[in-house]
Amino acid sequence: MNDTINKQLELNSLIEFSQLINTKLELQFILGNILLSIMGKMMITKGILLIKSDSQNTSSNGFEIKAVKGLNLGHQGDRLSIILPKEPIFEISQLENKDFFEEHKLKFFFKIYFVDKLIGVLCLGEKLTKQDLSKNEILFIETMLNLSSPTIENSIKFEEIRKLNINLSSQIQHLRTLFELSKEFNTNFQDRNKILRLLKYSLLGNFGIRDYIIFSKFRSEVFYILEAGRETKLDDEYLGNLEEISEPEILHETNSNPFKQFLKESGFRLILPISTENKVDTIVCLGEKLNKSEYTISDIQFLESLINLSIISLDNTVLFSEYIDKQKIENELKIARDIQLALLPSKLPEIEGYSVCGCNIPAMQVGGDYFDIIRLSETKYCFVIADVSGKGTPASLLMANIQSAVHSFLKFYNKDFCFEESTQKINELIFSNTNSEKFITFFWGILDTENNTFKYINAGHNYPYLITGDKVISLDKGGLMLGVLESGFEYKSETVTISNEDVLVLYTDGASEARNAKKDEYGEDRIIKVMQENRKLDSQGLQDKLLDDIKEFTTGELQYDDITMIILKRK
Amino acid sequence: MDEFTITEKKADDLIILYLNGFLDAHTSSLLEKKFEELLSKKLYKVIVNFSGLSYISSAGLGVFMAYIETMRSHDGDIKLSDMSDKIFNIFDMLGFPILFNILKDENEAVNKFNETV
Repeated sequence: MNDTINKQLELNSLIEFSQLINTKLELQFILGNILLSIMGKMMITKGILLIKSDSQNTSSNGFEIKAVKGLNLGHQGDRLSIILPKEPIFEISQLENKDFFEEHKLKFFFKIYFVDKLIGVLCLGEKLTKQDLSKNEILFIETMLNLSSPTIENSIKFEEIRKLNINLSSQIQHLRTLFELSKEFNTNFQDRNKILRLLKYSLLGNFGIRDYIIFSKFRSEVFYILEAGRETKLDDEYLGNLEEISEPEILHETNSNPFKQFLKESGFRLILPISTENKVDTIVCLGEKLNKSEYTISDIQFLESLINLSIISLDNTVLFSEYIDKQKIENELKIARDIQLALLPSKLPEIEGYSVCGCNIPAMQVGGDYFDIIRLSETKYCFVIADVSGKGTPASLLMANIQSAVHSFLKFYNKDFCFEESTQKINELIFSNTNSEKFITFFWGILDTENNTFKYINAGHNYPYLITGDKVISLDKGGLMLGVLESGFEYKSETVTISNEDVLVLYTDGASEARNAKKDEYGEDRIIKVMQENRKLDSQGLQDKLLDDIKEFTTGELQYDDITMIILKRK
Repeated sequence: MDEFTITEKKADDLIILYLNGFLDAHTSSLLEKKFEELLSKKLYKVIVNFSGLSYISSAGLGVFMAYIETMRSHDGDIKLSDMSDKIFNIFDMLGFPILFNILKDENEAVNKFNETV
């Protein structure tokens, strides 16, 4: 009779139990309930439930501690490798390696099968009564395990699916990030800081991490820290170690490599080298994730895409700003060129008894050459040639300065005009308008067609030559170039006579210092020679010959400086 | 695309930020600016109310990661409240509950701040 009641109770508890666990899918809850039900019934105080780690692989010995009751055990979730005896039910004495179980006083073991597949092991401690388990008790436990094994299997599967789902969600999150960033980078490609900030937030947000360093060779020969999270004190000497990193590495244990050990101690878990064109040029180090999970292959693939996307965007930023800078320079040069062209004479005056011509051939870079022939009266003409130091807009502006000074002074030209004093005044003007590194070589002279004289002052300019008869006269009288000293010296003038068929040639150093491939200079002698050999030609003919000769001399070389000249020939 | 807006309310030394709309790579800079503004005003106790937020992307999550320690180093915190399940799952997936106090509603968050004082 007692037996029947007992059986009745057992059956009741089995039905209740199976009803309870069948409504739940959470593995933790189910296993805990199995343990407690069995332990309560058997008066056992300690129990753990092991679940096979890799349920597909029947030969694997790996188990995970999934539920613990009655033991103050921090081991939940730990993995064990156990070689089990063949029997479905066994005691501790039958185990090969019993340390762990002895330590926790676990004595009875029941394998849990789903159909024919081993899915776990129930480990129980001694009964309070220290007795062995009776046949009936063993049968009860077996029945209980058989009843619950489908639920256990289901919840194992459920957990696997949950893990897969989490993986899937995180991959979707990764793809979203890449999609959003590529959109965002395309509209912000002029802002380097914004790109780096978005990269930072994407790293922090995709992995739930606090520490990261990105070493890069972006636009550099050596690695430097492109971007980093919290302050990490890093010796420069470690940067050299980066060259040896070629494979992704998870930092687990202590590392013999001091750099890796340092990273590990600083909280980093992943070192990931990223290559473009088979060369590692970026290395990403990431800290431990908040959810403690390990970095996966898909994380690494995502990181590679994310970093490449960011680096390309940074590159575009640099290219874009270089393009803008180039445009600015080109615009500036165009302005400079326009200023210069506007200041050069558009048409030279006709001078009775003479032929005259002049030209300015601009180089790639705008120089500061200036030439002019200004009619003062029926019989008087002023010739000016000057070379402003430097290039580009500053040179053009200074050239504008000298041009307006010359024109202003000549406005007041009359018989009392003092050539020397005017030169001195122009020097003072230029001096006060420039710093001492800027100067102007300047030559001006006044041709008087009544008595065929030429009065000139040469302020530091390349000597013009007067080719008269068999002689060559250098026009070298004058003084210091303009803008160097304010006062304390004088300009001297000289007057030369121009006879029939004489040639006067004025030029800038762009002509005399034009270079050939061997870096030889064209030189003043060649200028004189061309003039002498072609004396029969008029000024235009002489100029053409000289330009052709310079061009031939410098074949294949870029013209570095403006070439400017004036040629005067008395008929 | 939905706009992203932040409105704020001051309650004693607490600042409550209400996020609305889409917090993504594009709009994350607004949140970043807001945190910078709070830092410059020395306001370190922040509750972020998510009730009006319909979407958060990684860049948005990253902003919270980037500022939590700064706030804590000034005896403040960023506490999160009123998340929809969808948004909570994203935070949960990344383990944010380990680092952040995520509370059911704003009141609980206010109480949590008062507790720790």
